[in-house]
Amino acid sequence: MTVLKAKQLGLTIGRSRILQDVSLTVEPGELVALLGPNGAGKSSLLKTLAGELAFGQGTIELFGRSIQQWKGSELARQRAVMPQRVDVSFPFTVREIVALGCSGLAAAERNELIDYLLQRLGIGNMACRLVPTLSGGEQQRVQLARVLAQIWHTNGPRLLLLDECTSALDPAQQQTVFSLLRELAKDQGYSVVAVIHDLNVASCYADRLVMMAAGRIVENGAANTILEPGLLDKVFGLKARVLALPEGYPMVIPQA
Amino acid sequence: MATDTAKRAPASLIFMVLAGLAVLAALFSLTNGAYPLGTSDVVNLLLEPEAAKPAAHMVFFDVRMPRLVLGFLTGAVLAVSGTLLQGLFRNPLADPGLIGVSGGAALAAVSVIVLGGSWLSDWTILTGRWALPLAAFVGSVLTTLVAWRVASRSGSIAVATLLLAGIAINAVAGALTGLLTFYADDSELRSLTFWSMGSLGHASWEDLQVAGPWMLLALLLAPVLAKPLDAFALGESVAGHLGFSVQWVKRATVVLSALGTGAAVAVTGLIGFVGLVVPHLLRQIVGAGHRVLIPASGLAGGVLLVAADSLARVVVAPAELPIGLMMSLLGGPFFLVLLMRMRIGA
Repeated sequence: MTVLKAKQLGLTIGRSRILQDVSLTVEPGELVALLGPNGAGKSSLLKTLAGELAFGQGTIELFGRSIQQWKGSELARQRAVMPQRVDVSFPFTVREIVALGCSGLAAAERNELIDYLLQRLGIGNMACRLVPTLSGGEQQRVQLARVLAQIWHTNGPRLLLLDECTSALDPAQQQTVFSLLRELAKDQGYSVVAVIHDLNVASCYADRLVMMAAGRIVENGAANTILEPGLLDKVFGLKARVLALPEGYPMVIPQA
Repeated sequence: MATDTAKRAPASLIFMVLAGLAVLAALFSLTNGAYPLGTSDVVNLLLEPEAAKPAAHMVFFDVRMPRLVLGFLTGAVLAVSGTLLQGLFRNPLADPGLIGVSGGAALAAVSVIVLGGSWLSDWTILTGRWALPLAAFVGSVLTTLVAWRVASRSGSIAVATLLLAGIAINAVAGALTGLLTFYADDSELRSLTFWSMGSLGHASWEDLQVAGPWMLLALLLAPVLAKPLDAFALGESVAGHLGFSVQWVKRATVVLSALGTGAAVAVTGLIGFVGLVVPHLLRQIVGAGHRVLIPASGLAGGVLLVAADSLARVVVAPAELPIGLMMSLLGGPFFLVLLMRMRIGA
């Protein structure tokens, strides 16, 4: 079953057209990277897919059912969303925040899951810390743990919508996160749609790259076909060389 | 290990301490006043009410008990309303007075005091001795609905607009209240002043019959919002992603806090700072999780108001300070210090 099917989406806020004629399908086990310059509509597309923004034209089907027909609480068991930034307004501990994603679990099971996820994300020793006192990168991983916990124990197809989920992380932590995401996609059949700014991270980890510009999808395919000097120049205005690595994916080297 | 690791007392200990403090505050409140009643008298009155002297019986059951119960309920409901609104607005400085509840209640009550003999005589005839509390209650609900209406756009509530609407409503209500004082005669002015300073001095079982059920309802329903308000701390959209119905949570929070605060303000006048200080302080002790914070705020708010009310009767005996004045005198400076410490800590 197709996990996500968006057809000819159009989104207008005020007088500006944010999205035009955007169509996208995502299958189980697929890790899809959304790329594009600032203001291309990546976050808006993600928010629309998350049901946060009401779209004017088109249709969205999640797990075979129209998004309007989903009850929020039901959808939350199969689909988790990580916004670009989340501010925690009160002195909650890391454990309390991640526990927000663990509704329906018994205390022992919940704590086990929280400890495991924090461990996997390299913040295993921080469960009792207050979130507002943590660094940006630590907070980002706390939110990621919460998002993963939300659909961890769900059976059947699952969808993660991630908006620049590693923007505050150093390269090693970024590697940890995307290795975990790829593992979830390959072994558990997760579908992942992630807005990614780092072209090489997208190239390395994603099954498919979707290039956006000015509210439209301009290209959609494997890294080899998307990361190509002509397209990069056209979309980003980026002058770059692209090397084909023996590992099978290309690498983008910006020219000085 | 870093120093910012959360050090928290277990919830059961907190509740035991608060319950102990509640008993102490109740005893302090029951044994203080013009008529001498000791702790042993209180125990005897509770165990064998028939055996007591008629005067002691009257003072205990018709004056001090309703005052204690009303004080506790009012403190509890103001603190819980503050907790709910702070959770909704994601802001530790939110207060029930903020969205216009208190201002609207005050305007309605002052209208009845000043115009009860003329323009509003129908109302006073209709409602009898409950004219004032009922009017305040209606006023608070109406102003909340106005703020609500202003802030809602196509079925959703803009929290920032709601706050601004509250400010505007408070300004208008304050101005109209001030205008009414020009038409008040001396005795009206006295009762008006007293009411606007807040007091538990006239507490009676009748007041409790009018306001008690609404306050209890608000207190009993508030814990339902614990989980969604935890999610709200991460923002409305995240609460939505987690499966909570954002609009439902907003509506329930505003309605419950208006209901509780309106009922409390109706019978006790304007008592500030409870809803502001109590949740803020408790968050440092029990943490931000609403499952513990809401009931703990209720208990602590009740204890605080009963204790402050007892003090208000002691410091200038045989007269007594209005409790609202007392709370502002204690709460204002305290809160300023708290703010300064927060700034230094940050």
